[in-house]
Amino acid sequence: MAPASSEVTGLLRLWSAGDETARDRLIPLVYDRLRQLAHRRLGFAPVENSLNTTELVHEAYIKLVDAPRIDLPDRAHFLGLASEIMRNLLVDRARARLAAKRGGGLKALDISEFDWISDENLETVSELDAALKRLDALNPRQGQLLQHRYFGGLTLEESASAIGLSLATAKRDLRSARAWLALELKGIQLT
Amino acid sequence: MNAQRWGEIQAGFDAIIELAPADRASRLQSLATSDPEMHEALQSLLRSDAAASRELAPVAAAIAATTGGHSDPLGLVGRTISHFDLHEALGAGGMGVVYRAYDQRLRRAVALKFLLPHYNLDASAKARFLREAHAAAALDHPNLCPLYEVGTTDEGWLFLAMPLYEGETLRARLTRDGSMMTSDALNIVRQIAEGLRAAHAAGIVHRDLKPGNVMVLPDGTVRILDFGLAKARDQTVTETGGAFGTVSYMSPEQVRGEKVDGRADLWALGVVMYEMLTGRKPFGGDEEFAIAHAILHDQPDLPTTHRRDLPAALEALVLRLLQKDPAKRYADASTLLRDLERVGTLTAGTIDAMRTRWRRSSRRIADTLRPVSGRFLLAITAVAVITAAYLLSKAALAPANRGVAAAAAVQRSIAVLPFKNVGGDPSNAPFSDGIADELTTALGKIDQLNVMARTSAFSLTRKGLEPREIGRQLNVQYVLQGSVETAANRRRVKANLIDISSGKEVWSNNFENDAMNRDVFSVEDSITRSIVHQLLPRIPSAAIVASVKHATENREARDLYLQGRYFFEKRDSASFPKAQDYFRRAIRSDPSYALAYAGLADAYSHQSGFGFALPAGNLPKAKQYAARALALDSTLVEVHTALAFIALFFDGDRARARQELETALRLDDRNAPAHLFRAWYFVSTDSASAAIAEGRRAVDLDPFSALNNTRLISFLVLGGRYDEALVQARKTFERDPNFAGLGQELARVYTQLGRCDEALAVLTHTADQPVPLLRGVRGYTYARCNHRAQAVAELDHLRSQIRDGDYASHYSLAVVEAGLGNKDQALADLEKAAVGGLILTIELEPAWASLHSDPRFIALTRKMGFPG
Repeated sequence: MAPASSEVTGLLRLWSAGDETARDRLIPLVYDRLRQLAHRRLGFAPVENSLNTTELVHEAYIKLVDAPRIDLPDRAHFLGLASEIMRNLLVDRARARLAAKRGGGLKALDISEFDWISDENLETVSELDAALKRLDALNPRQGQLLQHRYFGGLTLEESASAIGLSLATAKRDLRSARAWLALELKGIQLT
Repeated sequence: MNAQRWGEIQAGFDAIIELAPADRASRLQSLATSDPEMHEALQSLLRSDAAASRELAPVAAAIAATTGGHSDPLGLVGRTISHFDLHEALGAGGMGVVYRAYDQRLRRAVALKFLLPHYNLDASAKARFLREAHAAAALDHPNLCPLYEVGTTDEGWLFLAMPLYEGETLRARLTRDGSMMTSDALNIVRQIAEGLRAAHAAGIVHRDLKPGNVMVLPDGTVRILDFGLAKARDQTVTETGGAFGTVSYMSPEQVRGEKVDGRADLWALGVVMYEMLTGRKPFGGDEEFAIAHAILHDQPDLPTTHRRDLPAALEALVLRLLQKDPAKRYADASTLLRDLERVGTLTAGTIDAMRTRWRRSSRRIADTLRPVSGRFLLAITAVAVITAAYLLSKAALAPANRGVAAAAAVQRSIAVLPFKNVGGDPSNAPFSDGIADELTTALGKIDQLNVMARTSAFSLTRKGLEPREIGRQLNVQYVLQGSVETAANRRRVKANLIDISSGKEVWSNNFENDAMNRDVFSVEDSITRSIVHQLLPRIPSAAIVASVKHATENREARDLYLQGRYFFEKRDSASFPKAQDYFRRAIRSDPSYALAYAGLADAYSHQSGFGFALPAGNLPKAKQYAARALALDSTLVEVHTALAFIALFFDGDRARARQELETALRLDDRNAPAHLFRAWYFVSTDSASAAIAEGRRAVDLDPFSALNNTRLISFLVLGGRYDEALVQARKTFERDPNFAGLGQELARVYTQLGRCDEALAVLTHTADQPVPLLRGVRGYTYARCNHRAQAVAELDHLRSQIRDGDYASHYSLAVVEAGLGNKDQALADLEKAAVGGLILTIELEPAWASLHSDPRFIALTRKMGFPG
């Protein structure tokens, strides 16, 4: 059963108001919807119809949330959460596939579960995830900003709103974070 | 590095990035000595910052593409090409990859479309492509996507710069919403059709119209993308052997690799429309070859099987677009737009009707949407025809059983009476006549069965005679009669067959149609077939069903056509415009309905031929519609008689007329109008006896047609057989005294016989409604009967009409002048009439007797091809 949009909207409000248990209850709903959306795409021809991660995240929002009744910050919260879930989905997939490729003998994959994720860029997913984890340790805000950007396609405004930053701060944080990430992905370590 | 250190570095970075480039350098310089580690870190970060956009864009694209979506397959994000900064890949399709870019010169965001590497063309193909692209770009139309410029990268890839639209493709919308509301779908289809019309008018065919190539902007505007691009694909596809894009929207002719025109785009629009309305594609399949096979060979499910609330007219429109034969689709986007407008009105009407409390008006609108005739009518017709044929064949065998010789060869004859309109709603009249008309036509195609022409059966019925009496008068063995009753949503048709000799009903049946259930048509088709199998095991069902000619599958068009015929056969001044209107509407409903084009051609040519309108205005139209009818279906008798009429009466082309009439009679030698026109052909060749024979044949085939009987009078007069003409004229006058022009013919016969009192008496009593072309005959009678003043008055009237530009012919003037004995003036008028074409009666008209020896007259006859 798909959750009523009012349910998601209500949870989103509670979470915005500081109720972290509401966030925990939201996660499975968003997770299911993202997979559901991605699977639905699969019934059609691949190129023209598939949604990229950003589109999936935004579509999950449209499908799950009673949009007119929600404030912009709540929307940003949702998209931020969806970015995180998307990241987890992709990273889990990447880890499993890459392990299987290397013959690591991990448990068999549930193929149907992940069919909508292509193998092509999983190395990048894995590398980006590792880099963002390191950034999280240095500055969690910046880690979130990049996560929102790459896994959810949030705009800077949405991202700032989701994290609770001013736009100016978010801009500043993003610039140095990107410069850092570009170095990190080339294997250059700052000291 | 830890969080604290990163905080320090970040603070340093934030501070230095705020500075102007020159200040950054001096700041870095000062750090080099004071804090070498910080200096190194910041220098790395600054360098990285400069390259970050370029280096990280592929990462973003790769992550996005993990779920199969956008990426940067050409690796162009972050680069600057020509004067465009490439920001991100927006999408990839069969043709290429689209990037969001910034135009440095004009300082605006644009979309750049790069053709995929396998579209790299040789020089001449590239030139062709550029020409096409520029032609498309030159089209300034609100529903087409303009092209800013075309360029080439260093690698030699072609790219196109276009506006960057906010909004979504129709593909995205369909994927998200599935099917859409009828009004939304119609709005989008209309805009696409507008765009196609503009492009096709410029000679540009899209070739790859599909939802992915249609942008729907936030304000609802639709823009068609990628005009002309598919041509580049087609030019390379053979080289690489690859199949690009989707086959789903390809027309059959494209699948077969044939030459395509704008109608291929109309097909694609049909597929798109089907998808918008039903949420699914008309031709499905898992593999491309399966889809291609379906496109070539399968009929799509009726849209209403997936969405029951679709109006029939809308369904018909979609199916018309999806005709496998391009000739059966709409001829062009303009025609489609006209139909769309109509369907749009009807659709809006339905919605309004549902809102209104007036059930009556709602029902009336529902009826407009689902006119009952078409296949329903054909199904009834088929059943009745088959039953009648069966009974008649059985009847034919019965005498043989009794030992009467040669019974099997006996020709059976039948008349079909107009079906009674129970309830008397006048709007049903053309419909009830229409059933009988269909039956007449269908029965007429069965060998060993003589079917009385409809006008005769109809005219006797209108006189209120009993069926048995009608049968006797028409000298037929059987009469088929019936009734149509409409109540609420049901329409009941009763039919029965009466044996005239016994007066007994030998067969009857009822057919009921639930007007609300549109699937009933296919059900009835199958009933028809099962009855065929029951009753006529010896005759293959296909033969019988084929005898019912499906001139159109469109019920509404068929209804409108029958109404047009109903008015056309009245042949009076008020009815021609009505007939034209109905035929035109029939065509609008089914633009490939040949019979309706032929009807429209006749309605124009005859309107002029009878003198109700100037040929200058009507003739081009008549010719155009007749040509269209011929192109659509060259096997219709009506098409060839229409062409013959024009050739003979307007073009003076006897050879062509003869040829068309021969064709018509080869198709159906029992067609009364074809014989009637052939009589006129013989008049034009100075063959009076042949003309009279043909006139008689027309009368035999359709004995109660006032038109045929009246024309036979003319042929007898032209043949100099005045006594026979008088008998014929009196007989006809008795039955149909008000038929247009009949009084003038009768008066002329009396005049030729020297019976002026009677001639003048007839003219006095039939002054109303003269046929303009016969005004001359009237004046001639006055002239010959010593009523010169009235004759001159007729002349003045005719001459003033010519001055005013109203319809009047010099031919009529010549007749009157000849009657007055003004030879010179008569010849002058005849010479003028000859400029307009052939004078059919130059050899036979008795009025010319006094002119025969004049050299000018001899010259005229020579001009008409006679030895003189």
